Amino acid sequence: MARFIVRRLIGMILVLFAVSVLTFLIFNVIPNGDPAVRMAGKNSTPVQIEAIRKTWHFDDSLPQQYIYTMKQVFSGELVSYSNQTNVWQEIKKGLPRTFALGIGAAIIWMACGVALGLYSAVRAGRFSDRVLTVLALIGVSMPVFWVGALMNYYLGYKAGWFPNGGYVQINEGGVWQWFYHLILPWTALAILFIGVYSRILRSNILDTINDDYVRTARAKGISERRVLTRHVLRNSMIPIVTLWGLDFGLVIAGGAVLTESIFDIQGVGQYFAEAIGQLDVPPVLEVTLLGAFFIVVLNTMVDIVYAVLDPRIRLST
Amino acid sequence: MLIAASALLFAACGGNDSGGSTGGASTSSTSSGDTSGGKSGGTLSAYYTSSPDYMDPALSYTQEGWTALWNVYTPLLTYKHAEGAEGATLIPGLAEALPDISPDGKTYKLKLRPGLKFSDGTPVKASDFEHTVKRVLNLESGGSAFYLPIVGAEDYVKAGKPDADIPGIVTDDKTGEITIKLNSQVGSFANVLAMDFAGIVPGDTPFKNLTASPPPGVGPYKITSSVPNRGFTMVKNDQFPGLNIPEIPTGYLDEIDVKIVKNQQRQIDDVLQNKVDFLQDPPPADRMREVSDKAKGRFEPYVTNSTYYVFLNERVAPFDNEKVRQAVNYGIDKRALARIFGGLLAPACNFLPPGMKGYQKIEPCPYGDPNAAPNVEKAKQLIKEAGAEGADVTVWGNDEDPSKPVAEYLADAMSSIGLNAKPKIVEGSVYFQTIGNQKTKAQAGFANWFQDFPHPANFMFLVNGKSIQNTNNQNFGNVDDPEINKLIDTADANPDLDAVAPDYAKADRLLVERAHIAPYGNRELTKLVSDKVDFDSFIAHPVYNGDLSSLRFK
Repeated sequence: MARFIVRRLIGMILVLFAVSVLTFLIFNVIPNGDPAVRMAGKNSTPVQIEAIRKTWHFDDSLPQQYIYTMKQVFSGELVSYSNQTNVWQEIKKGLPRTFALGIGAAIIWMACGVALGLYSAVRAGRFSDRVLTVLALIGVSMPVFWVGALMNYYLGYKAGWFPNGGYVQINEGGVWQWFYHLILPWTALAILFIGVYSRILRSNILDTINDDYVRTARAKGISERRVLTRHVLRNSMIPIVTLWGLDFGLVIAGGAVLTESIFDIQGVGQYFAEAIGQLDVPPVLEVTLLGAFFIVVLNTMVDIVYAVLDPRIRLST
Repeated sequence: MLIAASALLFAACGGNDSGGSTGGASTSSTSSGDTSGGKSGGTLSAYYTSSPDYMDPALSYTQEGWTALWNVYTPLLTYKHAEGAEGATLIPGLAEALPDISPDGKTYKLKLRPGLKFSDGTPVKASDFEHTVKRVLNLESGGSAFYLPIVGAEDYVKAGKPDADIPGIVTDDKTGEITIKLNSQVGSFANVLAMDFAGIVPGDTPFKNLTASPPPGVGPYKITSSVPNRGFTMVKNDQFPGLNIPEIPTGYLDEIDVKIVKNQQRQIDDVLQNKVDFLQDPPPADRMREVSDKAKGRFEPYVTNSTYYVFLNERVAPFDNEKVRQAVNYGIDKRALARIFGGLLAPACNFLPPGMKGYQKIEPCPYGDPNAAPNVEKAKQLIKEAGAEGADVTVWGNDEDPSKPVAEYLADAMSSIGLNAKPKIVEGSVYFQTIGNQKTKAQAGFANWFQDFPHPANFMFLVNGKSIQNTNNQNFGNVDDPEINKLIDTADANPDLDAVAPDYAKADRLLVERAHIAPYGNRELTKLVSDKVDFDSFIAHPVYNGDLSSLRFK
């Protein structure tokens, strides 16, 4: 286990280094994207632009600029080119919102996906399975910005059953208001994944359900419920866990940008999208690094969960 | 799953942001006041789509920032709190009177009002003004170019030493006298002194961006909370009423609570349902009709001091030919462009906007009524006469609304009059750098200008041959007409705007008649408030838009 974790840590450092270099280079080679000129504003003079270049190290060589930037990233002093706000502080403000959205939605899509996938597999070929198949396909086909906008309009604005977007912190509005404001965003984000997960799980269960070991378990007189949960479901969950780790990592790393924008959550995803729109390198770089970090960490955790689900898988191999 | 659930709870408890919106109704607990036509007191809830770039007067260069900061940091000079041309009238702010300008136009003398105090009770000193300007220059503010004409300002920037002296600013804390010396005549310098950048802050204010904890100022309101990208709160400044500064309201509202709500659909929903009292930005085009129907009596568009125009690069064929430029002016349908703006564009013929001194409506417009159909036949004929049929034209625009659809429309319109035009859309944040680089040889495209201050010089430099540069050029069409240049240069040097207004008007007319550019309209913004707000108290100020110090509840 120790060797596995060390190996993963080294891998993580290499991934983060590669991501940082690539992101930095991409945003520095875009034509006409001189940040000093953009920062100087519409009435800038050569004197002013030169002063900015000096202050912000834009006149250094590219490797020097990279090293300077990375030092600022790891000391938490990196500031945005567009409004000089501290990037880490901005991310810290957005992270609880993105986590609240991502984790809540992930719980919903995992729980619903597993329940519906299991039910569908057990009722395979029957009417209820067909209905669930159609519903799953509809869920997969509906883009989150469309579902979100409809929910917001009909359930939020027209019916007034839910708040029309926004985010409330627990320490400001209490648990209920926090929960109440997140119901629609959670649902909108989870719908797509529920469809995908239930379909994959159904297929895995149907593949597994006729395996020899399942037949053996049944022959030993174990109850059908126990066969399903302890043998079939446990083995069928392995690809689902992998997928969950990747999807959850992506959502936390800014993948929920559309949901955040539609419901005005103002999390990390929305911050990231705005920074890209302004070619503001520091937030883009730092959020990208954070995203890569989450994905690598979550993948490591998924590998560990593998071993729990299937003891035949050894982390050392 | 349990781990995830625990993490969810952790996430929910985390963060120290105080800007989360509840989306609930504002607490407009009004009390009877002594003001005419409305009540004093209450908390106004407001939504901005974009966060102010900075909540520091030295740095803010967006309308969002200025609307708020104008009522927190009063400069030596300021503007009347009124609509239209009256609102563009300079009045003394922290200075006792308008500046005493030397006959050569290079020396400005002002004197502070006695007994001025910042919102924290600290007395205001004359030397605070020099510190204020130093912060603008030292922090590399977008506004620093306005203060570079001050003697020694450029050297101060080059030296990069915050505490160095600016010899062109001499102050006397005992008498409150301030003398400013300029390198050359700048007729609009009084307006520069009235910009928010020159909103006076204490002399010990650090040389750093203070958005998160804005410094004290002198104004009807003070900022008590500022969370970048989330919102800010302003409350009445108790020190201000005692200063008795004429023509600056002391504010009616007790508190103004601004939240950044980036989803414009939500903004409109909330204001229609009276959950929020004030919107900074106009409704999106697809909801204009609904808003004008449902918000009768609390919604109204108004024209801003802005100009939208097509630049036509005179250094590049086919626009080096006046007939081709005239053809474009004849061929564009300004009504169609207004539709692209969701109706929030007032079609125009002039380059100067109507609210600007020096504006004289060009009537009849040489290219036909801006509100009527274009003269496409005439345009085609001119293209033929110029021998430019089928000439390749690239129409530049950026990916931000409405630039992209405008560029696409312009390409279509130019093709329909005989040119072979195609749009080219580039990233918004680098657009003006790209077309402002002579190497790009941008032929034609989208351009606009919102005033920095209400003085025609702030528009006419865009078409003055003197302002042409190889890079960072803002005279995108490389307009260089000796007669127009002379008119602008002479007028720009004269601080007596009333005297030179006819010269600006003449330059404006020549610019249009000679088709150096193709202006097509002035942007409109909107007044939109909740039912609880006294709509008559909404002043659409020509510089700062919604005047927060004049707003009050019914």
